[in-house]
Amino acid sequence: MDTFLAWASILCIGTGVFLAVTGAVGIFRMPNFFTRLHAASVTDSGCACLLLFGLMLQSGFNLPTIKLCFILIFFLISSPTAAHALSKTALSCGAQPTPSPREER
Amino acid sequence: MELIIDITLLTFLGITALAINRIDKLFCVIMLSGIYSLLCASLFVTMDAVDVAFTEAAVGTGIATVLLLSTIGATDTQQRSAPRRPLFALLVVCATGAILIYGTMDMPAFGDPDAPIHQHVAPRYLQESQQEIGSDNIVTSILSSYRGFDTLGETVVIFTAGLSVVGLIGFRGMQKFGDRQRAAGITQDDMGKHLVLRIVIKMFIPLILLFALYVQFHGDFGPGGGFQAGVIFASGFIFYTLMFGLDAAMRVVSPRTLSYIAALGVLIYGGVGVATLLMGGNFLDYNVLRSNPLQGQHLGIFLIELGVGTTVFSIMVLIFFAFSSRKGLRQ
Amino acid sequence: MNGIVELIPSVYAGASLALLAVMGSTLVRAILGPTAFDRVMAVNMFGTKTVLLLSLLGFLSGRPDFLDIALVYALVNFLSTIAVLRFFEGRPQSVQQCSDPDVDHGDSHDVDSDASTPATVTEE
Repeated sequence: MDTFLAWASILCIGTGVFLAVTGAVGIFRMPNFFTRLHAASVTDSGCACLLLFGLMLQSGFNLPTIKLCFILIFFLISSPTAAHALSKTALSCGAQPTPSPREER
Repeated sequence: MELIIDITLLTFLGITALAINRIDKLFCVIMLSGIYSLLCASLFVTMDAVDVAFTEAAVGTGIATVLLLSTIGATDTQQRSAPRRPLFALLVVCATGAILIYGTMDMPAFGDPDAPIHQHVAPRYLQESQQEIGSDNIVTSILSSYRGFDTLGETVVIFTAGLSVVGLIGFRGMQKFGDRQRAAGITQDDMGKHLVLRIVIKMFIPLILLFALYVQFHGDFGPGGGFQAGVIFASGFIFYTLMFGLDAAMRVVSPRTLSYIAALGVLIYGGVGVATLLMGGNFLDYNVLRSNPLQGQHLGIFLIELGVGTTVFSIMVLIFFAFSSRKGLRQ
Repeated sequence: MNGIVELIPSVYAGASLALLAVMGSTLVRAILGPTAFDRVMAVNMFGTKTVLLLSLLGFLSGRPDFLDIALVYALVNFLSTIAVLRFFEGRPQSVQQCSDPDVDHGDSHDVDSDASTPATVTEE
């Protein structure tokens, strides 16, 4: 059982870290703000969930797990909301969702 | 491993500080100072100063950013004049820095067990606070019992700072807020505009307040206590103000009530001290509060943490109200 | 059989290092900009990564106390993002001021352009 949990949590943490790195690459490679936000927010939520879930598998059923669970729920709700609000404000302040010709590679 | 993390975090800290110095767009500076505070707190955590990190986390990133934003909202988003580079000032700074670094040569190494600071009162705090105070978190025992008088001073400082901010900035046109907002139709407009945000924040506010209470009453056993709890509780109110407007927030708790609550917190703290005097002990010597000294300590710490939390909460909200009743975040 | 369980701490350590690298690149994005919203996004992402790093460090050093701090961060980070957005909403024109100018000379000091547009904030 321990071995299974260890494998599962390593898998979760590994995938989470992979997502984090892709997000970091994404915020540099993407051409304009909205695509960058997409890269950042999708990987952010995914990475946070997977990492925290991997840690939860390791810690067993105790107070830290419940705290991790709270952080997880908080992230699941707040991170997409922040991205939504960010893109909405950017749009209403005049940022263009499609890349302008100058920005296209 | 810890060393690598420390060095990396410190490098980031240096880069951020340099960038803050170089950039003259104040908004960018505020964003970077948020990152700076995140990095500071991470460093505190790796150095095991969990309570300090807690405070930095609660104050530095959240409330400081909000207040700084209100400030540039009321003033300007650009640094006005490009600073001149006088040679003399550079020389003075370099000389002072050199002297300070020279001074650190005589300091004992970090974590050196023979350092004077580890010889004086620290052994007693570490070894006997469990028997004398009965609190699991030694920081809490030192903060509120051994050094209770200092903490009273800190609370009064926060109280005074809040009073001076309100005295300097004040609440301009406070009574007219409702009329002005209703005339501008702000609340109606916002209702449709931020449906997602409103629902999410409405969901979060009770959780935040609950977490603040947990931090307040859990301070005996883990990191946390009155200062941190007060700030987190205030964050809940700031969330509400950001989403529903200053007018609605002031209807929940008015600045006048807040100033009474702030004074009440200091009063609770001082009152515990006077009560211990009357019951035959020294000022803030909680042993005499109950027949059993440990229970007395527990009650005393509970009461003064409550006082600290109340004062910090109300002063934070008061300062935020004062800032945003200018041309702050919402207007 | 036991090997994989003993591997766990080094997995934590590797994940922390990777997160530090990600934080570094986010920091660069926050400094470079170019728009104000990029910076907000970068700070938000930086905060998330800090929370994750703190949780990992807590498990790495066997002190789950750190989770309280991570929780506060998660909360406060959201607060500052929302505050920034509300700030921009009140004054869309200031987004331009807070972003880098569209021409290619980065965020160096062009004091002249500041002096020519001082009225936008005061007229509110």
